[in-house]
Amino acid sequence: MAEPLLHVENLCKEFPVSSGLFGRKKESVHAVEGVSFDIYPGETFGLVGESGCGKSTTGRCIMKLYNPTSGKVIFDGQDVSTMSRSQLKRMRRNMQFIFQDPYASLNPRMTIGEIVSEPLVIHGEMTNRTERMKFVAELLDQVGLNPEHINRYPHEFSGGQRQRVGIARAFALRPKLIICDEPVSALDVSIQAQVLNLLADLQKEYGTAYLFIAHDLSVVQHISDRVAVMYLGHMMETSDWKSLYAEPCHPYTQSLLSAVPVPDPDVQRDRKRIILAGDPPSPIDPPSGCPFHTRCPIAKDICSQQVPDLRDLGDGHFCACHFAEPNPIKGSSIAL
Amino acid sequence: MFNKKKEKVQMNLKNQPVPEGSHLLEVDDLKMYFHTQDGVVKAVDGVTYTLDRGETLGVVGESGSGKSVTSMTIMGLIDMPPGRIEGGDVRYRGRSLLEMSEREMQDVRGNYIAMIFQDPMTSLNPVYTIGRQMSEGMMLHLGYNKDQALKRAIELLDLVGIPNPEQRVKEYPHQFSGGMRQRVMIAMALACDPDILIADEPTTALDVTIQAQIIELMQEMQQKNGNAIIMITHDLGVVADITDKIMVMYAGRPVEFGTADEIFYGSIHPYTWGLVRSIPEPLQDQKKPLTPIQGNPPSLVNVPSGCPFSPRCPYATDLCRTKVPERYVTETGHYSSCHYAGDADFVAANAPKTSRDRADKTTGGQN
Amino acid sequence: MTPKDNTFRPEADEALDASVDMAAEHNPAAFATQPTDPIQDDKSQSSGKSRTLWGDAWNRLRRNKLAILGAIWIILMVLVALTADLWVPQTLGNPTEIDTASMTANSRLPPSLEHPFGTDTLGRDVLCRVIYGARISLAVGVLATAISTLIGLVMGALAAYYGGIWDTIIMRLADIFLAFPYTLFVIVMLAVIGSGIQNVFIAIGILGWPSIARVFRSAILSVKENDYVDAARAMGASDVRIVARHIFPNSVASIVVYATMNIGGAILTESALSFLGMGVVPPDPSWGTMIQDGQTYLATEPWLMLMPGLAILTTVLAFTLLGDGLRDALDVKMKDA
Repeated sequence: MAEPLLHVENLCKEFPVSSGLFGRKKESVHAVEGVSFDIYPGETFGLVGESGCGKSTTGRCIMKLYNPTSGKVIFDGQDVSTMSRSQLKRMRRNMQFIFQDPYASLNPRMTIGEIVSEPLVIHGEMTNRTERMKFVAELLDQVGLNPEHINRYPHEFSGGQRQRVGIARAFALRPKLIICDEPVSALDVSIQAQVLNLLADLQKEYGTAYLFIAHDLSVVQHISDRVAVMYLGHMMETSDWKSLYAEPCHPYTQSLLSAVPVPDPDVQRDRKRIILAGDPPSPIDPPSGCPFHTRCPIAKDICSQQVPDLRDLGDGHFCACHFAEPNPIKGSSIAL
Repeated sequence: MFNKKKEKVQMNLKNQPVPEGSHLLEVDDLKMYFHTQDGVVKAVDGVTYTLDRGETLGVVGESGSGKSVTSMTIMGLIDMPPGRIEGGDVRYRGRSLLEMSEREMQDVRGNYIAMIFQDPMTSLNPVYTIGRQMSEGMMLHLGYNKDQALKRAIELLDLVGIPNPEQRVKEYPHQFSGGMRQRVMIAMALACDPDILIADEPTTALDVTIQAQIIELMQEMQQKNGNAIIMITHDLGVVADITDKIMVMYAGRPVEFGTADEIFYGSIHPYTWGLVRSIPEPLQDQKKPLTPIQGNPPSLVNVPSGCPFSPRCPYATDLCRTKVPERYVTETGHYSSCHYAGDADFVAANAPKTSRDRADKTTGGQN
Repeated sequence: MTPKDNTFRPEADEALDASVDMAAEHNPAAFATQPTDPIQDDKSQSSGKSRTLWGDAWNRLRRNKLAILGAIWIILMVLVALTADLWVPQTLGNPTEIDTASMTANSRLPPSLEHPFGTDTLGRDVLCRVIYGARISLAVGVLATAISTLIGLVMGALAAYYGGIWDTIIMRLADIFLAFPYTLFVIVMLAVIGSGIQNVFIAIGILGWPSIARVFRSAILSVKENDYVDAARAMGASDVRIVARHIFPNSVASIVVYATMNIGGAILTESALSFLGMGVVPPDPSWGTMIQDGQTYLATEPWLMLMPGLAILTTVLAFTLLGDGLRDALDVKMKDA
């Protein structure tokens, strides 16, 4: 394969939390711990996990909305962490973000046209206003909005339409990579499908790579070429979408997949389900060893003592479990 | 406040048999409109269904489809005004809930029909201990004293799988995780052994692994208590998992109602088809684009003329755009509000292929 | 609330000050998550011209009868106060001059056609003095609020942007200011710098900043939390642009509302000070001094106290009603509306 567009290596992010009466006792939330992956041009990399697993923080660290505590983020051959302000600005031309909440991500005091053209203004492209507005109108048309609505305000649109505005804004500069942070989870099913199709169409047209962050396994499966599963800041398993969903190796991935209810009563009745006990541990005080061992159905002594490495099980399928074997449950009823 | 005991003796609907020919809960052409500055919002427009003990009804729909308002109306929890019941009836064990006084409704709520809400973070009062909040309902409805109620609360917490209940009962809501709070909510709802448990998106705010726990718990509790469940959700997966009957709602109206099998394998309404097609298909060899429903849900102030789904329906005809469809009812009670629901050829040609069609080649479904 | 998911924002645990309840618009139609009249078709026809935000706000304000009543009253007061020199001396006489010849004959006359609000002990027309009092009261209200708003905006912005030690110093300073009984604080300050109308402006203005600073700071902090600010950062926008385009326009509404209400508060404070003899120095008319003068005759000639009292009541009420209306009108329908 070609050079990766984005190379993330051993990314860590801790948030300090001060507690105690005078904020003396310093603790920290270990949001992301040692996450590594590559994204190649034009592909979609899905990052999936439950709330608090650090998937959104990972996305924000790559974008440098947060400063990573440690680790390397190399975008387009350049190290993001050592960039100067002007380099960072140039980098952001090629890396854009789509947010989860279509209500909070659009400034209510700006028109749709102003919102979508803002990246152009910031990066000094198309200084001619008429030309710029013409371009924005075309873009709105492309994302399925009426270009005549260019002077309207966000509160006049429904959630799905607002998300289209957010997508148009992200595509205004034709970036190489877009980080999509739960772009469809706030939308209704029928609208969700529209937006997923739109993202796929735009990717086909512009060859943009996506880092697709979501908690919904079936959505991630649908859109991603490769998928990584996160738990408590750690990457548990990563592989191409087909082998991850058909042959999950990590017990966490297996239980996650088996917990997703399938909209098909026959299938649902026959499925073997692994229901995990308890809640995920607190990221302030993560367990020793494998982060999943407190809930894992097959945990042994070693799991609480030693952090498992992300091992290659062949064919680009990596898994961080001491007991993972290649293709353990092929054709099992667990899969979606 | 003092005559509470007296009234309790007077009415104990829960122990009375369901009158001959009626069901535990009958919702009959219920209409709830809101009169707002912007116009009349037809939030619930002709909802009809029946429910018996031990059954689970799934109410499916997108946001703003009126699925939550329906159950809030049944519970008498809608502020009137702006809300107003414009027609229909809700009968519980043969008695109309809409005609009951507020005093009687207080007995219904929590005692006969209990409710769980979507957000386990805001539905518990942060300033009281879990034990105290759980006791409240039992002291009110069952006449327990403080110690009895607390003892029962501990039993209930144990029952819903909260470890160390003697300790946890003295703790405050913020000391519980989201999943644990939802368990507490279920325990509270089941405290008075209600006939009906209404769960409004009980797992939407939770993660999948926790969702699986909660759904399993609800099923387990139902097997033990024999109560009926009304499960309101937007997730067809959750519905497929636990329901016997399903009502699909769109723009305040029930567009299709039937057993889970009828809805999933023999749906006769294009909106239901659209919902099913919008969901990414199970593991397949090749990725295909999804088939979304075009357009946006209508505003309830300004519902399209004719069939409310017609502007988004790929099969809509002039008839659909001008005339509100009659309900087409099959002999099993499966109904659909579509002009063409009775047209077997139309249904066969356009309904999405299901796993049963794939397994059973003889049906020969297309698409 | 939308599920927050795992976006940790530990630095933003500053909860909204209770004083900003901008978002707590109660809405009977809150069950519908769609806009009340969403644009229906993605592609097809558009329905007329766009509605501007300020136009929308004006429309909402216009429907609020009480707020409009308040606004009309305020405008009327301002007009009367501004034009007083042109017609009041000719019709109602001079507010300060005492006609020693007719003083006794005109002393404390009840309301009549000639003197609609009656006359005071020194034979001056009460309506005339109420009108000239309005000049002082309105001027104090507006100017003092302008001073506190200016200081408050700077302080609040500094605290919110720079955070850390700046935030701690400014907000603790504000806490100390707020911990003192306000009126007493103003009196002490006036005792130090001397009474008189300019000093009343300054004292009320300077001591009023902490609450404005708090409101503005929390407004900025809550706006900063919105994804569109992150979106602008992700686009590479400069700090100046983020503040000017995104943060300021979205947090200024709360200040407009708060300042409007604050004017009423400042008027009250001025009246109280004048009543206590710390504010406006006689013979200049002020509602506070007029009440003070009139209280001796409460049982026999109640209008002496009632008229300026009513003036204070209606004016403060008008500002409060307008402020309330503005709050509802300026609140952009962001969610569940």
